[in-house]
Amino acid sequence: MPTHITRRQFIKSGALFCAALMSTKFLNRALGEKSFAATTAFTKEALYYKKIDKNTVMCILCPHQCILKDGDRSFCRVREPKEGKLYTLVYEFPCSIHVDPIEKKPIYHMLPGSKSISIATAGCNLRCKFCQNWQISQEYPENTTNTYLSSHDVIKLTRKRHCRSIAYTYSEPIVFYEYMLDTAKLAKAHNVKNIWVTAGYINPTPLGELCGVIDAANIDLKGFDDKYLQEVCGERLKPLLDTIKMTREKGVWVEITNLVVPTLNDDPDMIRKMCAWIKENLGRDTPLHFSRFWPMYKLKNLPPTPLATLKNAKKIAEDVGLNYVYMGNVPEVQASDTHCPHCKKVLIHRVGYFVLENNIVNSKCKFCGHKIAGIWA
Amino acid sequence: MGVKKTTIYSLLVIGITAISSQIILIRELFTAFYGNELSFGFILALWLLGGAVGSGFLGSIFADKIDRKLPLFSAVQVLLSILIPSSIIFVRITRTLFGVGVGEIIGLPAFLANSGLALFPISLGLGFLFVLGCKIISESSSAVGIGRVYTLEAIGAMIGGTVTSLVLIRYFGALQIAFMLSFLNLLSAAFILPRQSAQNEKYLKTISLLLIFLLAVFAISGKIELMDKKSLEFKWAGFKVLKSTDSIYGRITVTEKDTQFNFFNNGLFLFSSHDPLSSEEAVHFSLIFCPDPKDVLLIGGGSTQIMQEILKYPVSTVDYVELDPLVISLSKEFLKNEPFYRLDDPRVNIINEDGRHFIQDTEKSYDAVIINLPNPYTAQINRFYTEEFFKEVKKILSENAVVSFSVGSSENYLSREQSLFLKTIFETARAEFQEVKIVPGDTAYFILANKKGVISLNPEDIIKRLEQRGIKTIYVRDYYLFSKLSDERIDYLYRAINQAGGVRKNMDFYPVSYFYDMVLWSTYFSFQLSKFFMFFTRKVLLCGTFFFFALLFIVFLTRRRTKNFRREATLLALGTTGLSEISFEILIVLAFQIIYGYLYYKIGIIITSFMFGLYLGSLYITRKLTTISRPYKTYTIVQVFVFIYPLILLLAFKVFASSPFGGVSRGLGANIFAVLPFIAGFVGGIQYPLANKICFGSSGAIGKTAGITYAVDLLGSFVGALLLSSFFVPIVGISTTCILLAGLNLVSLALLLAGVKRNSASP
Ligand code: SF4
Ligand SMILES: [Zn+2]
Repeated sequence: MPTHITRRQFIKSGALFCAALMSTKFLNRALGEKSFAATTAFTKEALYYKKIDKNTVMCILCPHQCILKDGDRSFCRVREPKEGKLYTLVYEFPCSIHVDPIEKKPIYHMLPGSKSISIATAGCNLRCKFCQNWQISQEYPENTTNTYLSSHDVIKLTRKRHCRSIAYTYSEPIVFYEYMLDTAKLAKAHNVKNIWVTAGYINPTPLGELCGVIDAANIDLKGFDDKYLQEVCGERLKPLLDTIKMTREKGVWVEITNLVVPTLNDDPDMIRKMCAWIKENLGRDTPLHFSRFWPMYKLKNLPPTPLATLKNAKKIAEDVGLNYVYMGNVPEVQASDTHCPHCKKVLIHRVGYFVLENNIVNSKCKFCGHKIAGIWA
Repeated sequence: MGVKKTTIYSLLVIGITAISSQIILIRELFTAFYGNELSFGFILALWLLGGAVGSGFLGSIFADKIDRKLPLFSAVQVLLSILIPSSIIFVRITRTLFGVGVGEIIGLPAFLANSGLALFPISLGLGFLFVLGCKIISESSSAVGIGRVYTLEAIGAMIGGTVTSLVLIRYFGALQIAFMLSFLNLLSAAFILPRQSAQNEKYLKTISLLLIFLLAVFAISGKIELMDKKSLEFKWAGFKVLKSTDSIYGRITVTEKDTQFNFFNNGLFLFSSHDPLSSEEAVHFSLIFCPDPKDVLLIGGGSTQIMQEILKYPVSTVDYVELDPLVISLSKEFLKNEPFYRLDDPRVNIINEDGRHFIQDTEKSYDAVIINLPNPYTAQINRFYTEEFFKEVKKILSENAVVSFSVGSSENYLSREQSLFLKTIFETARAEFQEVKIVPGDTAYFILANKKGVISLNPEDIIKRLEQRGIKTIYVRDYYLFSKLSDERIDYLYRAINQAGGVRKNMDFYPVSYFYDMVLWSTYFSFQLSKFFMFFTRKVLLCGTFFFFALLFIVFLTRRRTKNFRREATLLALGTTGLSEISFEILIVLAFQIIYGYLYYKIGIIITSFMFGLYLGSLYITRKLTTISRPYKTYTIVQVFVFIYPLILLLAFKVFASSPFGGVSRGLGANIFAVLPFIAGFVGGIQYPLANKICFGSSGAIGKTAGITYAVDLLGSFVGALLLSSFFVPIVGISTTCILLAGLNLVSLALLLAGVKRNSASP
């Protein structure tokens, strides 16, 4: 037994210490990746995927179509195969649960003035540089603080908080598809409305199934330019437009949100083309919300959208012939009111999240009897 | 001793160019890539690394071998004169070229690549010129020469630093300053060449003169200004650049788009001319709880709608403190016709001063203090979120006063990083104020009062008060508040904070909130990166450092019996001194700001005093160098000082921060303070020439020696720049950092002593 440590031994143990520090296990812990076992573990099998071989699968939920081997984490950060089966890791484990006015989603043509239970899990299949909720959308579910909330619990909570709908929102609900679908089915049975707030990057088959249970969708049409969508958001225009069209065709109430980002997607010609597309494919009764960009996340140093830009966008949309064009979140200019397309009178007077006046009776204009598109009861 | 005047001029120019181009390029990079202190560390480190490679690698390879040194010197200077303005333009256009939008934060690798491309060639060239200069000036091959070049460079740096940062930057654009440097370098390139020179050397001279001529034509015809304008427009693609002007504090840019004006400070978005939401929230959440707001103090943000909101109350004065007068003058220029513009209201009293300094000095007491500053993304701004600051604010409050400030947060979900960040500030404020409430949202407003029960976040309460006072608002009212301030959202915020785990209080000398802000900043790039930062707790960092010290000591000790041990120990000590010197400089500037406020001129004096120390130190020892018979021993004695110095610093910080110096005789204290960097500089100045003498004695080639020593010095600085203000200061605090610096120098000292004992035969 050595009575004193030789230099060599000291260096050796030092090197060992370094090696330990660098070892994958330790490093992973340091980096927080997969640090604690996924809260949900591998209990809920994903609905839409194909087996490729013994331990490889292809997720077919969204156009990314991730090909994953056992232990690989998906692009959206919440799916992983194990022993050749693909699992969703966020089933019934939301990280964000709030009660919001339905106007905040924004959904303007369904149950105005009502409240909505809003739930979200970690993860997203896009990479928008202006994400408001990037602290969940770009994070792994292992690192977010999640609460167990079964579909039944969501319904119970909806009752308890006097909400008339459930909104799947904040991050991208497509990535918690199974949770959304099961909860929505249950909600439908309980006469609670379902709102899907999404960027719409999903494949047709799962979309078809979802449309069967969703009442209203607010779909982001973040721009009408493939290059912009690719560079700033990480999605493509074609599948997005297909989603929007199909959702509408399946009878879901669709409202469109367009976030106007100064210099990036505020080109009037592009806005005009977008509006024309909406009119042609979804009808002029489709509400369109222009919302003001706010310096966020990676675009923290880009100034907010000028009011004039928004006003101009609204004017373009109205010129194209859309009936319900709104400017979100700029109460200083009254641009959240719904006007009757026929007699032009104010039907719903909104300020902020408040509905101060509602002149829609039996889905019709109180003044002239014109039928107003939407879900009003 | 026949050193030619032209050579002296050339070496001075190198010093001037080094510091001035560093100043303008760093600001340019900051503005283009939205820097914080961590990126500042990276940039400075890249710069020093370039210098180290240039002197160590290129210098030691070429300097001794090449015969025609003057033409080479001249050619490198011509290159530099082209490189410096090009780099400025490069930094301005590269984002747009690569399709990165205005205002977008780019990934760390892209940031490093861009900074590297802009800085590295220049600092590489300068490092190489240093070594070449040493060789030229001391054709006699002596260590005295290196010392002299070092001295000349230090004078150049002193002149360049002062003139550029205090004078030039206020009156000229970065590109114009860059061209001035080009001019100086071209002159030197033309005249350093000997009169009788070979054919190709004549070409060099012609090229230099031609370029000077071109420059003159450019300058006279206004082409430089045009280039400045065009490159800025390119950088702000899509926006109209109304003005982009530098003050000594930073660059303020005003852009316009669709009649909206946007203000930026060093590229960071400050405010826009249309933002009722933030303005209302910044004011009403606090003022509404103030029973009778007569005297209001506003720190920052007065050019926005905030002022209009404050003046909705029956106030008698609003003292508006804004550090940079340029913000005021540009606001007056561009916002005059905005409906919310109130800067000329007789009740508004504008004071251009550091907010912290103002609060320490004012005799007045206030009914409300509204602080509207960015997140603590530098240690400098962190001073407005610390325990000491809250204590100072408390002293100027009237009985029923309220205080408010805000930081970035997240509305729908609070990550652990975000919660910890909020918690450090919350706990710090709570220790000083009876009541602290946080308004949830994407911006978290902190409302503080010295009495319990003053503030209520109940929306009904707020709405009732607004009505009673007849204050009309758009956002801070029923339409939003019921949702924003719902019990559930407030509960969520407090729950997230409570569950976030233990935090330290945010202190001046231990800027914890600044650290968490950096962690948050890193989550923009990747959450993995943030986890990496979070891994370095105080304990981990301390253990790691001690282990590193031990390893360093043991590894070097094993070489004790080798021939070159003294040389190696000297170089190690030189490296650790390099690291320490830059750390001392950063620490002193930091501490000075904390204790006396951000006084730009005084900070200029501190840096100059440091340089002056460096200059005198190296001058003194260079004079004596030939008479010193045992440089190794002298070097070891100097190392004792380097070891003790951080401890003196620690003591000085404690003394100056305590009341006698911090309070009554602050002016005196601030002046005595400026002596500290002089001492640090002096000691560093002595060490470098000595190290050269020791190393030169055992090697032979002057170029190689100068190259290696200069590189080691810079490498040390590189590590110090990288780690000190971004890692050590926020994670272990300033005091512990001082002790660790002493520890590091103790290791070097011990090794030097081991060399003294072993043999006294060699020098
Ligand atoms: S849902 Fe997720 S796993 Fe499936 S394809 Fe899209 S990104 Fe990949
Ligand atoms: Zn009608």
